[in-house]
Amino acid sequence: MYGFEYHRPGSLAEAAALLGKLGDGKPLAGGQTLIATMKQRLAQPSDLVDLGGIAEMRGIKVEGDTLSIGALTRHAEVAASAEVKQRIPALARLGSTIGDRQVRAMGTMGGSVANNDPAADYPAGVLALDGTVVTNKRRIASADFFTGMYETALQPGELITWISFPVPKRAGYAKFPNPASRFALVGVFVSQAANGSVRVAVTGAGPGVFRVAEMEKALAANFSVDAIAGVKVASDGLNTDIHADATYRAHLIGVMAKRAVAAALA
Amino acid sequence: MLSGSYADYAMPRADDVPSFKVDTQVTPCTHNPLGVKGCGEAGAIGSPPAVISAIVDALKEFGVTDVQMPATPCRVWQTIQNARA
Repeated sequence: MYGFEYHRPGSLAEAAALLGKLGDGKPLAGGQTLIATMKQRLAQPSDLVDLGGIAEMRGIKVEGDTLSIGALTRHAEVAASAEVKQRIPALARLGSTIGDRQVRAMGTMGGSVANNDPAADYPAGVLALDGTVVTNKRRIASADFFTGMYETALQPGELITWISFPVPKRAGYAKFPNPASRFALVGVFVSQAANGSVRVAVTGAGPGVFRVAEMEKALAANFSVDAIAGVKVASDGLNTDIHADATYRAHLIGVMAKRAVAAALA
Repeated sequence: MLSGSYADYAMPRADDVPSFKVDTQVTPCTHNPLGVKGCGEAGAIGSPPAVISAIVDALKEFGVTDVQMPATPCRVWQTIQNARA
């Protein structure tokens, strides 16, 4: 690891001001990706701005039909939350499958969503649930937020503060974990909104999270496992690496989507 | 070496390992009068064939007679696809 300066602001305004002033500063949330990357000398930020002391970015709130989760809320907190389990149990389950116990105890929803790892779990949940990413500057619809591999709509110095989810009619998440990293080899989040519309979001399979329109259409007409049994996803553009090739990932999308629908109906 | 770290290399962890029973089968060597033989890393020698044999046994209905290591989920699936083709 290279040397860096450490800052621990007590408020969002102070953190944003620091990041605006420091040329090569990086915000630090749970550190489960950033610290490992720095240890491998793949990242060399001049400054780390630790967001851990900012109380206004942490917590779980319910307002009407909207569930909001603070960016610094840890995966273990989401997994254990009575509010999340009651309103969006699939999201609590997703949180419980991330990494291992140590990662879940430190990693945060905001950190995961801002990093947008192509195999991370939360991007699938945020996109399928039609979540809204709230920053210190604006509100960004999930459809506009995830722009590519590790790429998001966030501008330099812009920080995710909360993520809001409309409570769906039903939702399910199924993941085939990479046996080594426990990231998603393929993960599929299926959600049916209160108005009946359906979103199917896939992580792990491609260069970034994406939706499967054909499955969404089939499920909106008939929300059942059988409705998508015949839908084949093409392997074009999917990932091939030492763990799995694109053909297997395409196959897994179908299997995980069916399991996610079954979980949503359970 | 294809993997960059243990994030890519699937080192089994405590919660990955099923319950198992260890037993010994005495088979004296037939090539010397004492029946002795050298042996090291017994676990490393015995367990991979045991696991691969179990996978081959599980895939017997597809006519599979061999699975190459590492038996990743992808490779097991491809083996089934090839056997069906």
